[in-house]
Amino acid sequence: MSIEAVGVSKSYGAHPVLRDVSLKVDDGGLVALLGPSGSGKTSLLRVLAGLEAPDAGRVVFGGRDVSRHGVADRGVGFVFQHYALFREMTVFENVAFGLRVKPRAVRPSEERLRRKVHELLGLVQLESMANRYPSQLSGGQRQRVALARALAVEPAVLLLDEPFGALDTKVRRQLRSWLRTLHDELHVTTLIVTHDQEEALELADRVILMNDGRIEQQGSPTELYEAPATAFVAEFLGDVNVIEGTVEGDGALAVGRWRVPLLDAAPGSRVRVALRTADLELLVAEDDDACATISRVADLGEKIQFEATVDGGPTVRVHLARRALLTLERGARVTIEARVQRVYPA
Amino acid sequence: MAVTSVVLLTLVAVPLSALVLTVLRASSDAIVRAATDPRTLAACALSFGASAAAAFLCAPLGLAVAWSLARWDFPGRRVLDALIDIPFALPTSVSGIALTALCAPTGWVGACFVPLGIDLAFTRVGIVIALLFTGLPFVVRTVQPVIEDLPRDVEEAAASLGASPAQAFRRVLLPSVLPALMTGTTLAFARSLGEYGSVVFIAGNMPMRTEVAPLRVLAHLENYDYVSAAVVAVEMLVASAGLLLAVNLVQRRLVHRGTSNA
Repeated sequence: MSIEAVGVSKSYGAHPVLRDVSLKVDDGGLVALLGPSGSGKTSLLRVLAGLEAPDAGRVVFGGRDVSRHGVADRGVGFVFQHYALFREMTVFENVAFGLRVKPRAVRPSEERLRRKVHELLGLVQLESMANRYPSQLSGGQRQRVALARALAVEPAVLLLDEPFGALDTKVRRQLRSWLRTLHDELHVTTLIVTHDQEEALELADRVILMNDGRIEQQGSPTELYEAPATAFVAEFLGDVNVIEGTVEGDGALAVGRWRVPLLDAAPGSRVRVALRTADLELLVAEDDDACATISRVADLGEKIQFEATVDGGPTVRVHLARRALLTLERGARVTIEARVQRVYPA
Repeated sequence: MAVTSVVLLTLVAVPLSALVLTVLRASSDAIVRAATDPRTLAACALSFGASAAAAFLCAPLGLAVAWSLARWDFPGRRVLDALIDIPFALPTSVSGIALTALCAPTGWVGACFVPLGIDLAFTRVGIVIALLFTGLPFVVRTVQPVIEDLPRDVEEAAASLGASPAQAFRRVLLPSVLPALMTGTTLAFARSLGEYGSVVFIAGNMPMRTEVAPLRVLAHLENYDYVSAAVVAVEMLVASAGLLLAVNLVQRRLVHRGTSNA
């Protein structure tokens, strides 16, 4: 079922958290709501779920206006960051909850309920844990129980609020690819809130980037990464150096001794340039040509991070492939070359 | 550990053993006479009955009050929150006099019930009202922090799974609150059993009808009949200890299901 928000606004007191937000998630899609904390992404998700009432705007599921429906009547599966499992119930009873509270007329028989719960526990690979209590499970297992519990009522849409936020990196990676596989099997329209760009880019068909209560840009991960529409998007995605200055007569930006040639910028205009750490190159240079000194080298494993301090300017971070480690040392004199640059008005 | 033992020993064990010793030193004849005195038995029955009634009323009322204080922000919440402790702080005789004045046929509250033919003061109803007043804060203060600690998202999760507020309350919230609610109710009950100051004014103290057990103890003491006083006291002690033990066992099973097993 498709999810649509039309002109949704919400404020807490005088503080607006959502400013006229409209979005659409197609039936069967997996979309990530990405943004820094405080950007309104969780509030938006809660409005869509019916856990929060918007001040203005409508929520439409599959073409039907559900704005007036409470969370219990929207048919959403909601997964919370901190699992929100029922601690007095076993894993089995947690998953069975949504089926047990159904009105008598549509409640499944005990036998069908058991079959369904075990099927779901199999899906989340926790069949052997049916009789445990939530406190006996690891974080990753708890979140899988929460997911099975949400899926038990066969929700039309699945809404996940930072579902992996409380887990450690390795478990996060595993659950991420597992969720992707699960989605490919079930095709439930899914909206996932995250502040982790890697998670959003890896998991989602489409990413909606939010900032300060507004949608900044939406598109496929590649579109967002390759063609950021605003300075915010360019600076949020990837690891970025930002330099600011006035364009000189020859169309270049001077930062200390470092001159960054810009492709088309009007001389005299103030610009803000986003340079990804991976789009920069360091070349060893003689003293007269060099514009920067390597001030720090950090081995990040897959890549090496160099900090180059521009003469009379800022320090720029550059990520190079591992092999570069041998040739560049701390104190080396270099020039910096930008292969890709994104220029925005300052 | 040592400090705890010393304190327990001097404050609890020594006085209680003195009580038991007094009884043991008396003649069996005197003990039986004191123990089976119909006026004493009626007083004990009334104390237990009224305390139980008050405790049972305290449980839902206290839960509702604690819930409102923990979950809703309304004008005057802080004032109300502070007022809850008044029965703790007030000398019991003061609350007794205040309640009597309020519930007497001429009082603000009592007057409302006169047309209905119900007397509040100087009846058993009055005793329960007084015990309710002193017992309520025990329930509120034990339950309130537990409710405050309950994560909100659990309620939201229940709602998102289609549970009505009533279903969410009964299946999800009540099990979490139940151990604390039982503790609070037991405390209220225990306090009610021994309650003297707030009860004697409103009760009217009619023998066989509105006379509570602590008053019997006092009456015996005033007659220098220490044996009878001690017998009544031991009767109360045994009965209430047995009751507290039973509640404790039930509660332990409840808690065990929720956490240690979990």
